[in-house]
Amino acid sequence: MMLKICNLKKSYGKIRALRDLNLEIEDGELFGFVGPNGAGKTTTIRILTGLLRADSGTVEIDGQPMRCGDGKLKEKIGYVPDFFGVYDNVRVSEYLEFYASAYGITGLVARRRYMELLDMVGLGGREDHYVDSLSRGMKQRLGVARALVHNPRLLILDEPAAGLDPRTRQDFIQMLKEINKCGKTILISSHILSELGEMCTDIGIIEEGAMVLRGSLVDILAMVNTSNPLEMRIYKNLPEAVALLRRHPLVHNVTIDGNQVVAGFSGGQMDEARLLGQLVTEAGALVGSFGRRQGGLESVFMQITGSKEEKVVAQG
Amino acid sequence: MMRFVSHVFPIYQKETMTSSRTTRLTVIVMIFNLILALIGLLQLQLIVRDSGYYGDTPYASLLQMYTLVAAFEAAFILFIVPALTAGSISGERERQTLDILLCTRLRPADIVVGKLLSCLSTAFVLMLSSLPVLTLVYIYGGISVWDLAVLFGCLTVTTLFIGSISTLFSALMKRTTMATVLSYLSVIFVTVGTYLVLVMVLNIYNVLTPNGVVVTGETMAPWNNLLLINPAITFYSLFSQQIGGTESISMLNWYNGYIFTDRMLTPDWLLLSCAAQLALSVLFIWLAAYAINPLHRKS
Ligand SMILES: Nc1ncnc2c1ncn2[C@@H]1O[C@H](COP(=O)(O)OP(=O)(O)OP(=O)(O)O)[C@@H](O)[C@H]1O
Ligand SMILES: [Mg+2]
Repeated sequence: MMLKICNLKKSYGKIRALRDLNLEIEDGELFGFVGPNGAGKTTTIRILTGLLRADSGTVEIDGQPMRCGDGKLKEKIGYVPDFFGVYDNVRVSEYLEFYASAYGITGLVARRRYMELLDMVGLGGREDHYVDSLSRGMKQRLGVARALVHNPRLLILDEPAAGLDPRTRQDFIQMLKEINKCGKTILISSHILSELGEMCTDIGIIEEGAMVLRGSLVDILAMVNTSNPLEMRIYKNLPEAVALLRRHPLVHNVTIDGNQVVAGFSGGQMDEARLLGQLVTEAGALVGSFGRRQGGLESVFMQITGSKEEKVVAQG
Repeated sequence: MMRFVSHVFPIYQKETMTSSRTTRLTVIVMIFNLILALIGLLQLQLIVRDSGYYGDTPYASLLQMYTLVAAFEAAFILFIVPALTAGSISGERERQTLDILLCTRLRPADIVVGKLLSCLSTAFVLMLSSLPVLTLVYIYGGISVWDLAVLFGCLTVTTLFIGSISTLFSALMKRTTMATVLSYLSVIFVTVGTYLVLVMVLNIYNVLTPNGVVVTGETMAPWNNLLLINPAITFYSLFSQQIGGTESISMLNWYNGYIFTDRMLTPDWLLLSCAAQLALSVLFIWLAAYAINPLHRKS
């Protein structure tokens, strides 16, 4: 267990940023921490990095309980904040050397380490450039190299892809995957689920300071899909098929548009299969296509993090 | 010592490296030396002219030159140190690098001390660059190496004292501009304000005591300790002791015996005031470190 957060609470005056956050991240995961603006992602991350003190709750990193300001645990975490600056008048190599020395790594060891990292993040050969002359995407990469300079076990990135163009973002994600393969556990936050969808092994969705969903991407998609309506295309015996659907105990809300039928269905995958069988054998329908509507990741996200009223409607 | 090398030195090294890449230090040293040269030249000119009159080398004028140069140096440091340190922490905050620093294994105190040390090293550069002019006096006699060492010691204490005040404001304020303004106000307070406070206290005593009863120096004695933190008095005390006689700085004698007492011209006072300023420096450094520690930070 790389990270274990239990009942984390944090308020800013009257604003309750974290209500009761629970989260576990295993070794080697590439964890996507998703939530809309103001959900409490940055607050959680700042608590993990020791920059903010939680009101209550516990955090365990690598099996050890965290106290705010604990030097030992700080060496296990690399942190790339959502906004960060670089110093003027400093070269890339000096920038990394400085942070290496801040972790007690100096001399040749430091040099070897940062050259390796620069290659890893795709900035090889740029060690003599001044950091303020780097583009935004490169600075972001440099930020990752900086966060890895002391060889931490857990890398935390707060909305790293914001402000990058799609191509740069793709490269950036590729880079993170590589780093993950090298054995680092990564926690990356974003407010765009589809941005993380393709890369993360696991996803957690936070809303209003509490986790609302946690699991692997496949699980989450499946879970959400069962609440999507069934879509089918029926070419023969449409009225009989509709009548059968209307009678079916698991079906509700049948709408017909030409030969396209959309039906709310509250059964599992086996029930779906049985329904298809019934349609063909009992109603004699000719079924062209049959299946759950595939929610894109964004619609999944909207569904989960929709406003309160919407949720009540959906349940009722 | 080990802790210093591994924790404070990285910050110090970064600070000196980045500042050496700007023209700031060069400009400061240049202006400083220009003014020093002017003072030295004018004073030598006077000495040459006077020796024409009196037919001998007037040592008093040479000593006066020492006082002038050293006093200018002290004033320059009071003036420059807030500019050097008021942005040390708030600048990191504005640049959004403070959080990253706090995430490393460096502790808040390491960061504060490292920053202050780099300011100290700038002050040392200034002191060293003033040596040629000061040794002019040394060559002619009247000032010993020990005197120079004590002068540099006092300048170091002042740098630390003012630097730690500025660093504290830098840690407390969000903006460098605000920290700079408050730092300069503090310099004015410790040099002029403390004196004004004492004048006020004296006047209050005068108003409160019944007619005919005279307020004595003894009544004021405890209050006068406030001047221990006044760098201007520290140097006044130092120069009076080094060149002997107080005639040259007689303008402060308005409140002689009440606010300014003979006690201020003793080595004890000098030592005590340096100790007081150092103690306050340590306190301010600790407070600054406390202020930037996420453990204690509000919200
Ligand atoms: N320093 C602060 N003072 C007061 N309230 C704050 C502070 N920081 C955050 N908040 C509040 O806490 C809540 C959570 O904020 P947080 O920054 O953690 O959200 P986030 O998930 O990172 O959002 P975003 O995607 O916009 O970065 C918000 O309602 C925000 O207004
Ligand atoms: Mg955020």
